[in-house]
Amino acid sequence: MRAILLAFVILFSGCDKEKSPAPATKSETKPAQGQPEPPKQTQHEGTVYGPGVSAAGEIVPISKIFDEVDAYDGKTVKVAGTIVDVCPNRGCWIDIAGDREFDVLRFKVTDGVMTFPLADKGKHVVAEGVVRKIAPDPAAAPAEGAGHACDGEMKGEAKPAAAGHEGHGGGEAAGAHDCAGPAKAKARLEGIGAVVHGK
Amino acid sequence: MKVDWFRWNRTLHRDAGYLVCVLTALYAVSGIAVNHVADWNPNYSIRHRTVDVGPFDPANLDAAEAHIVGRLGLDRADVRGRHRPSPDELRVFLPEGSEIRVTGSTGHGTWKEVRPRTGLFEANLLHLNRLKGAWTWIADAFSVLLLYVSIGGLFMLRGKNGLLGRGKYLVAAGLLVPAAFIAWHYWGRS
Repeated sequence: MRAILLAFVILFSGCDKEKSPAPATKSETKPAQGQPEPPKQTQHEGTVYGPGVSAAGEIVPISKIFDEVDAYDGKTVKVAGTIVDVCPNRGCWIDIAGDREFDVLRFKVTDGVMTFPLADKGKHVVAEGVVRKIAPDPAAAPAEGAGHACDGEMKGEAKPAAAGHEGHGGGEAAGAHDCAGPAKAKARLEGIGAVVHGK
Repeated sequence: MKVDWFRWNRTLHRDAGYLVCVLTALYAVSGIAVNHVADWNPNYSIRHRTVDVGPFDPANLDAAEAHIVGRLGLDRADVRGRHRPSPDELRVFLPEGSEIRVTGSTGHGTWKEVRPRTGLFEANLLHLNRLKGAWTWIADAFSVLLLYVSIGGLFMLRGKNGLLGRGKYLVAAGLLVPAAFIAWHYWGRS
């Protein structure tokens, strides 16, 4: 019996690379918009999603991708920033705050390939993916703060309740985004891999 | 020496059944939970409540964060990060994906409290193979066992209660339900 238990312990101790975050400093977990990002890393350490990110290649500022979206469309890039939203149902996307205030880039992965937990919100991420330009579609663009019936919003969700009376529901409420990306975003990233660090 | 395959099958089926029963139940519960993902969040319980922290300047990030955290009586060590989504808003991130989002000019906002659903979160973790790595192989082995339990179960009994007796009608009924839905999917929705 002891041998079986020991075998299980050994088996599971090395099986979960997505649950072994490297220690991180306070500054890594709280890079705010408009403030300096943590130093660029040649070896990206932390919780690895998918194949992770390649060590080679510079991190491209998200503002640059938005400013030169036609030039970056279809190209594989590495970006870094704070995770400011996570797909609440399937963990199939994260929103990354850019180096310029109010810029947010969505990193979207195929369901099940990588799953980001809600606890990753607020942590720093280095993500690699292919830039996809989002065609402007005023008719389809949601109003600021509104959401689509997608990953971020569900039927029967709780709306903010009056103080002292808590609503209780399943999903995101105000601020939910559609699948393509945050409102007004010019591009999104088709995810290849990511490394998240922070406590 | 003649091998009694029915006896061997019953013995193996019994022991395989013991092995897979816990995980089968876990997967079944998780299956029901994620089947209804459009209607609820199977992993997290999320509660929203309104907050009023009084007006502040969101542009001064450190002061704004300290203001919100102080007014709500939180420990600043719990703050995971912050984000200014618009000129008049600040979001403060807390553990497990919880966050506070407040409008600076009014001080009004929302506190979103996130908690993993105990038991179900872990069941989904296994069922949807979010662990990857070695769990992939264990889940494969479990599926092979389950396949054996399913097929081997057909040959547990002989006679009128066996597969060639009433068993064939029940197997056909079990096949008919998914087959009808597949047929409807391809040819019935025109």
